[in-house]
Amino acid sequence: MGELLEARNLTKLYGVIIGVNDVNLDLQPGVIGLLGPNGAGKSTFLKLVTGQLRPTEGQVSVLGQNPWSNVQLFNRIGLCPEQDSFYDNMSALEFVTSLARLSGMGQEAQDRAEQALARVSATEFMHRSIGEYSKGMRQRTKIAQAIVHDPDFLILDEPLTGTDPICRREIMDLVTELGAEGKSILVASHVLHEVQAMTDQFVLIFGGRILAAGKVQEIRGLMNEFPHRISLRCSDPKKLAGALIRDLPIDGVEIDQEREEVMVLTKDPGEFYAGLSQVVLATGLSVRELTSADDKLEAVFNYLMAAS
Amino acid sequence: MPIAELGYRPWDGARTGVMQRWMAITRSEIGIAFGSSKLLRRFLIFAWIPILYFCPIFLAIGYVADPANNLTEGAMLTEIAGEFLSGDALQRIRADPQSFLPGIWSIVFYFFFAYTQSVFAMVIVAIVGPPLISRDVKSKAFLVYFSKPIQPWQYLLGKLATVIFFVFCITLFPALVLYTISIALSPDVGTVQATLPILLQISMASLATALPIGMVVLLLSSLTGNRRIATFFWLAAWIFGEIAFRVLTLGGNFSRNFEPPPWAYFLSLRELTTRAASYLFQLPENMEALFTNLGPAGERLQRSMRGFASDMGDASVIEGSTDVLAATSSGFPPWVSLLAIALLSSLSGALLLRRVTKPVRI
Amino acid sequence: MIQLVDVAKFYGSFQALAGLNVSVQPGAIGLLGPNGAGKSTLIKAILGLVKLSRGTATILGMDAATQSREIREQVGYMPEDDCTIAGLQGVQSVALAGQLAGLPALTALRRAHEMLDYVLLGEARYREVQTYSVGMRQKVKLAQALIHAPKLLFLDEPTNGLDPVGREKMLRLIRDLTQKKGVSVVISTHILSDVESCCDAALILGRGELLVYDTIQALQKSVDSSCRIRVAHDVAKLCAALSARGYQIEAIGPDEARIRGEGDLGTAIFAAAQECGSEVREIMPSRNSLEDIYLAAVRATEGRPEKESA
Repeated sequence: MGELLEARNLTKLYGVIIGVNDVNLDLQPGVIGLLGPNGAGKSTFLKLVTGQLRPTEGQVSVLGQNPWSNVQLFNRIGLCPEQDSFYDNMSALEFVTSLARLSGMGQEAQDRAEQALARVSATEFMHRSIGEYSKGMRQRTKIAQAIVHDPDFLILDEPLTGTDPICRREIMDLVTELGAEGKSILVASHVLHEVQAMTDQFVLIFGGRILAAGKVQEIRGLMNEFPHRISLRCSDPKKLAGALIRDLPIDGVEIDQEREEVMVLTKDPGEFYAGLSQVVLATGLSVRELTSADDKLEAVFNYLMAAS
Repeated sequence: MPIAELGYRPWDGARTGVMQRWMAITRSEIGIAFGSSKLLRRFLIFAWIPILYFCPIFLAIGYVADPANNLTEGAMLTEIAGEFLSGDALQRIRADPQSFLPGIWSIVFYFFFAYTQSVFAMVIVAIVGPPLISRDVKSKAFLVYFSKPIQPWQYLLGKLATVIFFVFCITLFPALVLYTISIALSPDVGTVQATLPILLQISMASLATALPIGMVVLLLSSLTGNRRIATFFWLAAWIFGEIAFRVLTLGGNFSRNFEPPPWAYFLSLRELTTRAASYLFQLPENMEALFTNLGPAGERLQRSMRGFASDMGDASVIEGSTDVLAATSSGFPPWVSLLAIALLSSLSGALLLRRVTKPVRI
Repeated sequence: MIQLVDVAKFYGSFQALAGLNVSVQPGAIGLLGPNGAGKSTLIKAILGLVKLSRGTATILGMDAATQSREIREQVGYMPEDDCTIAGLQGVQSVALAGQLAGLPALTALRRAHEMLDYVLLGEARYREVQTYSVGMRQKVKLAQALIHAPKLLFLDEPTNGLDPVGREKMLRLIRDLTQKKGVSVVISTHILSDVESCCDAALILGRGELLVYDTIQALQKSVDSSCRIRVAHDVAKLCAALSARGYQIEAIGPDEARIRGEGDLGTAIFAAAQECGSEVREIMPSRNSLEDIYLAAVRATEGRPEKESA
């Protein structure tokens, strides 16, 4: 059972074109990254989740309710769409206020809009008309309208596209903050570094189906066919490699003298890490760097794409 | 055996000159126009239909003017020519074809340009012109052009040459075909020599038609990212200008002394190009020379030409006027139309340069 | 490669470039800055498309004001906008770009195929460009920028709209060009990790001024000797053990900490881990992240980016 989102055999076809194909998914509350190549069905999935589309087959429930034409649920969901759809001669404040009114707020609509805009650091420009905004300002306005009614579940579709690094940092911090406040956020992005910085939970859609869902490390743990690549750097990589091969479970070693690096391949990283301290100390070498790209979302993503 | 590296490789050959670069744009645009518009291909064929009408006329005149040809043998051609040439007038021409033929051909070419092809030119420009620049406005493709060693004028010339090419397809090229047919049947080498200036007239008149409408349509095209809006404005400007011009010159149908305001002629771009053609084909001079030399025998020819002009709605040849010469030059001196065309073209060109370089300058 | 002396540009009273002085070395350069910082004005000035209000720009030894055409023969530019020429097939539009740059028609077509092979656009090259996906359009634009074999290439947001696979392919091409093919590349982008992964140097602009120009290596070099560690479970035990050995500890998360101190940090960490039974998963010598550098530099000049323009 997914408290946040539950999909059962969820399918959407546009004529003969497939958008989402037989998706079964349970999500618990939290911050979740939504990944997938262009055209993989992410947008269709988000539209089904937000009730903009009706499934061809199967069910989806969000916060325990069916989203299709469910006005009650809409008040608990905030959506920041990928496309811009504004009235260019409105100001951000007017825009967010009017949307707040639409979601049933009365007197407090303007105050809430101002608060929401302040949260995305949009106070300075919120009185200017949207037509003059840069991409970053538009993104912030869209996020403000998504959070103005204080939803429990926030859906952000590519909120970082076209924004400069400062704006990116602010939006990412906002996502982390909201997550810490106990909100659930589903954030779609193409930049894996940024998803990684916001959360370690992700859903990967590929070809209209769910290829993987869960925590990065857990998913990595399931992929036994790819040995972990662990890099160690020290002044004498040959000597270190020798010691590692002798005493630890290792499936392959690459040595790069120039970079003073040993790249170890192992299918049993638990055992490897457990024995590592002892082996390193026995060599008397100073290991100045120990890293494994395999713990990162990017590596897991690449393995998943390579396998499929 | 070495293993070849098939990736990116540098290139350091000789660069082409200035001409090839804008011609590359033209070639590419012509390809796009042919490839993307079925309407264009159909219209190009349609616009050659007037040739079917003018071709027999040229053949017939060429045949009957040649004293070596027997009029009764070629009865069919004689009959066609008989519509406007017979009896005494025909005998005079047969006696000295070299002095009469260039003038007659020049006049018929004017009819070909002024009455059918000038209208077709407006239509073909409405098909090929509007997308030329608005497409680049929409996708901001200017940057693709100007980040390469291309000057704005080369870009514009490339686009303009595309419009001119398509206008030539229905003016210059069919006119050249007509000319070739007519000299093929001409009496002797002397006639060919005497009619050579017509080649120049044809080329100049084609250019005087293509240049201003090309410039104006490009200007409209550069004002919007939507080709349909550009097409709409082009058609609206043409049709409303034409209607206004017709209304203002309507009085000429009722009164001989009617003088429309001179600016009325500037309302219709088509009228301007027609008048420029009339100037370039030296229409008044040719008509006067022809009818003076033919004397009273030319009256029938004069009448049929006037009737033809009137059928075609040529307001500059006013029905009922006894003097075709006066009628064709009414309004303002003929060279003014050339000047107007030159001014209009350069003004449009200057505005275009500003429009086109704007996204790059800022 | 690019030499700017007091380069300034005003649009009316708006100052787009405020007197830049910099000499950019060949290689891969990340051009960074908020919207409206003058990045695109700078690129246009270098191509000689924008007339400078003041100063001189010398590119590959040529003066931007007087030798704009010669510069553009040696420089490629991949614009951010769509920039497709509707109605042309992919290969035709690349060949056209080649002809515009002065390649003879046949050479242009031949090279267009080579470039499309290089950017990995397959059979789709025979389709019209309007039917292309974002990734294909980016490939065609890159091929168009490369066709005349430029020595210097400007890429404006080359990974915009690309999915992770497309982005990695694009970055790989950029790395190949700069490292193996001797083409210098200037990448204007908002994605700092792209710059970290494929550039040698970064140039940060803010409000028309040069804020930072240095190699990535120098920028990332940390001032003090410290490192970040990550352990399998609870970091507190290890922290206590290291603390006892006289190292300064700063916890970052439940399993992460920063450790500061002199001498052989690596051995100390492993020894402490061995002692208290922790599993060390990661030891990362401290590096300044480009993001920190960027945020510090831009925020210092702007307070906050109040005057953005689209």
